[in-house]
Amino acid sequence: MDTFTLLIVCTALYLIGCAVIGIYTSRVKVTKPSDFFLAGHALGPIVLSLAMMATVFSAWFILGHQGLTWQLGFPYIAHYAHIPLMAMLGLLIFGRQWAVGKRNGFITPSEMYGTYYDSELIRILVVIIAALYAIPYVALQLRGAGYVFNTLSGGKIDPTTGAVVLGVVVILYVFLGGLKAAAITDTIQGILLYLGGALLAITAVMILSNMSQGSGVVAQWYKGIVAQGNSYITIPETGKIWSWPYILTIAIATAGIYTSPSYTMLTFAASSPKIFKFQAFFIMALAMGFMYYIFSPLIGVGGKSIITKLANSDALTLELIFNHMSPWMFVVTALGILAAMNSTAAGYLANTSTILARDVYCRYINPDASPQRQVLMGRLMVLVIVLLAVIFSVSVLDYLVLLGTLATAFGMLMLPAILGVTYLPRITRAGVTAGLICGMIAVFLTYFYWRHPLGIHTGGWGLIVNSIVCFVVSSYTEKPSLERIKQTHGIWDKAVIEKITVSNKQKSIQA
Amino acid sequence: MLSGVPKSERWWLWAFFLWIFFSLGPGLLLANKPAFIGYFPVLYVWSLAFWVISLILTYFLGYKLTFTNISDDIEEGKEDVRREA
Repeated sequence: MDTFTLLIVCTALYLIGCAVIGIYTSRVKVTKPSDFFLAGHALGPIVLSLAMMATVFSAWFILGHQGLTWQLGFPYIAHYAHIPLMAMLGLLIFGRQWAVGKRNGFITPSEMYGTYYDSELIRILVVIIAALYAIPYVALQLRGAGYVFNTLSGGKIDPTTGAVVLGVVVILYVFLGGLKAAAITDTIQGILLYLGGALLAITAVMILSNMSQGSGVVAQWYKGIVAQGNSYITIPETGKIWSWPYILTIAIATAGIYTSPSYTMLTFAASSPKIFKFQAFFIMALAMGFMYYIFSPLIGVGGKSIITKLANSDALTLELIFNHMSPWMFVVTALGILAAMNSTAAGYLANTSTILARDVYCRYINPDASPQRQVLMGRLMVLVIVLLAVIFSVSVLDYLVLLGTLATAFGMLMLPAILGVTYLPRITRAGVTAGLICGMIAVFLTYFYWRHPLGIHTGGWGLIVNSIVCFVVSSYTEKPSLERIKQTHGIWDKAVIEKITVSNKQKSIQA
Repeated sequence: MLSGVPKSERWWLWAFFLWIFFSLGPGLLLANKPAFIGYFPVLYVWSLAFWVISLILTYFLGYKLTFTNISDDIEEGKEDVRREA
């Protein structure tokens, strides 16, 4: 069997497997909305941990990320600290979000923020942020799938066919099985994604070993670095791209993906908050840390010894796949790339369709909708998002990558609002609203008009402006009600009500 | 006021900010030298060292400290979109 036939057979089996999982998971008895929207609060440690990982890492992880390591070297590697940062951020907020969700019966993050801050505007802003995040991401994954199918098949499959095939399969299993189908397929896809990265590293080691003529892989790796000069191993002066302010702020913006609405929903679906310990330590900090700190430098930096010139940095992975892998390694890595796209699209589709169904349809159009009606609407929203993604990818093709990058910058904007719910009861509705609006404006301005001023990433500006405005406004405005704080902070801090009551009394005496 | 973080565990937050300072912030400049330790650039050795430190911090946060320990046993609320504050 030639490589192309093997690729087609394995891809077909993989896609059929995804569809079968969708059909299997669709046979769920819905007695309350969370049975479908949150997989019955039953996602266990392996499924949830790998689903979270697979949703984070899109095909960019195998293509663009390795290429940028090749191109930029160790200043780029310095920002890998966003991986353990995500692990710690997840541990800080996931368990408490889970508890707040369960105690209050929240299904979507917009319900959590809208109810806690008693604000329809905040609820609507969260829906807008979720949609701004999901639609360009889904569009990018579908277009990317077309490109990858076309490239890996040596031009035998045209890009539109590839995009349609992946799109139809993703729609099918998310439509049928919702978050449960997305999570189970993501488990398998997470493993494929990791295998793809590991095989690329093994390939790089084998090539470096052959090139070294007995001096060793590390010595050959070192030769490739020395040939690049000092700019490859040192960060530039402050104010430039990839100087420390840029590294710091792009890492924080990237870690901010964990504060975006989709991950809040995933935390609500966990069967236990103990899962987040396993996810943070073993999956993110340890396994993904190893992938980033050990495998990626082998692939990217090692690639400098193997390939000195490329048309664009994305081509590094494709060059290694096409010219240096056996047919089976080729097929597994190719499936890893497709799995990465598939899992990212599925994760955002499942979560955002639920947000639209619950926070738009149920909240404003039909508040008396039965659980079955809500599920039907959630399924229809999957189609609406894909339709919007297709319209986006056709009508604003030139801006699609731009919008995808912008979506990342929006991620961290939710941080002050999340801290209000989980750690800082003094953050107020007015503070969060003003912070979110000013943060969004800062992101737009520092992306479209004055790109990365002072060498600080757009996401960093969004967070700085958002946080300052939020904390200043919060210190002069009305706190969330005691009842709300009792239903949230009261879960883990029994003394919080007393502290706030005493503080309020002191203020009224002073007044 | 940080809710539910005992004073005895606040050291972790300081350690976390120090970790950010050295692994992503201006502390990176301490390792910004065009030099190698063995076959490895100083900046890479620095990054690896702070990855290992992050593993210790993550382990402590997840498995040793109490403020991220949330009980499984929480009464389930009603899933109603019409709830009012």
